[in-house]
Amino acid sequence: MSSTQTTAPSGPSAGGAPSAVRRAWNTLVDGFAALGTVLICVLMLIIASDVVARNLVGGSLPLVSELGALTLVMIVYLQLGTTIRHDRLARTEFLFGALCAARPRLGQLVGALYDLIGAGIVGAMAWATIHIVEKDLASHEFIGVTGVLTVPVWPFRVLILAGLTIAALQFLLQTVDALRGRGAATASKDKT
Amino acid sequence: MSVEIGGIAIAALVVLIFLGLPIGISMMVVSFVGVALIRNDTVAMRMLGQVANDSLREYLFAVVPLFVLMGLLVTVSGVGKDTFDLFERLMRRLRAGLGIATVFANAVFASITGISIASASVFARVAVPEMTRHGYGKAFSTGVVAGSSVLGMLIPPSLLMIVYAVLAEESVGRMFLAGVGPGLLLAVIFSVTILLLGTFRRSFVFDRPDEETVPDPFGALQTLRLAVPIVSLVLLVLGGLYGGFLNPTEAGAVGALGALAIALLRRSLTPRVFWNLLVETGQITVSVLFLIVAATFFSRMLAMSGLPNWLAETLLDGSLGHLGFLIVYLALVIVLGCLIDSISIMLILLPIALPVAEAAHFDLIWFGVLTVVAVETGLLTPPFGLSVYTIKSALQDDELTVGNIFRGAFPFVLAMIAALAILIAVPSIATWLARA
Repeated sequence: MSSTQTTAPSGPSAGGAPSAVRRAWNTLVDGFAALGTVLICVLMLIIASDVVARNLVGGSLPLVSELGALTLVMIVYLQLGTTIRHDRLARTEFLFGALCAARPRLGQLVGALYDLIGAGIVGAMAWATIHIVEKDLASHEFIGVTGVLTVPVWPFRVLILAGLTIAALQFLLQTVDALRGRGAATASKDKT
Repeated sequence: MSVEIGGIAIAALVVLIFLGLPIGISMMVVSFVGVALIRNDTVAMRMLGQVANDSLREYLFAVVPLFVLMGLLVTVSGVGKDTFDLFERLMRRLRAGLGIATVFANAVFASITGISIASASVFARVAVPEMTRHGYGKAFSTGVVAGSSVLGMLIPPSLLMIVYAVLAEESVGRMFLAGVGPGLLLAVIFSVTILLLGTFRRSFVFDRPDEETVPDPFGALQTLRLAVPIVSLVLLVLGGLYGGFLNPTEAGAVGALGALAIALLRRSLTPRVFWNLLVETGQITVSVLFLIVAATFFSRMLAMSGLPNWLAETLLDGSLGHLGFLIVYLALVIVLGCLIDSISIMLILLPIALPVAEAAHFDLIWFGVLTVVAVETGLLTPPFGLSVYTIKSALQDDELTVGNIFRGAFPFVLAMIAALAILIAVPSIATWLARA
């Protein structure tokens, strides 16, 4: 459990103090992650109170399973950006790590390519989600039971879209950083 | 034609993963291109959107952050140390008793945590110093901890069992039940291994004779004080699960809350520590669930290509036979375990292997248990045994090389392979509780 560096700047940037824009960006990424972190607690409390309600009062709380499912999806995408920034996506290290150790600059360029690929695919996920948001809005998609308690789906979906967009931009940012020779080659960063 | 695309996609995936592209990203890229080739890019784009939005939208997946949080909470609250202290006193008269105490303390700790890494880091700090103080060699001590940490993933709750259940569309509750018997079997085999080593290979086990006095057993009150938190957590989670009061997700939530209560009661939690645990929980959750999103896409692409069915027909009708397929599969899992992390192996191989296993009429619960045991050997084998590196970084001892730990863990790799053989021969060890 060494990863306590949520507030650390993105990589040991060699290019001096991060610009104001970059600091604002990091705050945004961390803010989204913090929201996701809080949601983990919320999820725990929602589900636990459902258990209590069922066993004491004899009735389940409404919406718990649908809400729990949507909350979970949000947790993942809200924190995707920060996970990318801290290089916590699972990957193998033996070839890439050796390359970064032997030829740091080349490793950095290969890392830039990987980040670019990541930006492409996560960007595509975001792009495809736009249509889903539009559809949710158009068809008034909701969860719950009509007449009892309903919650529209689109606010959740917008947050998912925002999380995906931020994750794609984070990848893109790391590509630019690596091309400009800033930031360490990712494989040498801490892995737990 | 599509079958070939499926085959090429698998080859491309393996290459990308070895080159070090993040595994989830590799799967997404390969699947996207695969679908675009089999159908067209509009379909690929639509599937990508669906997978991203809907594959995680299951109540069940909430179990992942909850059990991870629970595991991290019990780790900081020192419950692991108490368990070890209790077993140390219980086993003090046995030959190499501390080793066996470590195994059983791990088995109990495993039933409140779902990640082997948590067990490895806790017991590296708790058991290894105590064992070396009593004359055990460092390689052996760390090997015992590494070996018994795999119980964390076998004895429920277990992250790997959850992942398998999702991929195989089996019930998580049943998979959890299926892990109990094999977990106990493995604990017994490990203990026998330690006893044998302690008898016939004393130089491997001990550096010097044990001159330290063994602590006296705790009084009844002290035993109770140490045992109550862990026993109540185990009862809460496993009892709720098996008694049918709780589904797996609820067991996770109640367990996490219970672990939180224990951590608070013991004052081992500052707001800062708690926040860091939550952040860590989030990052583990994201890396696991992002892989699941990617694997969903990958397995849909493969199904579209028709490769798994083709493979099932070819493999099973050919000279390989059912048992032959099983052995080749398990060997492949063990070899991949040397290179890739556990969850990724399952996510890559299972979409291909499950249709074959189904066609061979294997009991998928049993198949899952075998897969998990085989995958877990990868935690102990060089060059990338994750448990070994966890122990190395938990101990921060310069004299102790990674090679030493691998050497110490090797007897346990053999023990796990023996356990696999027993499980293949006697499937009911895994299935009796789950199918009851």
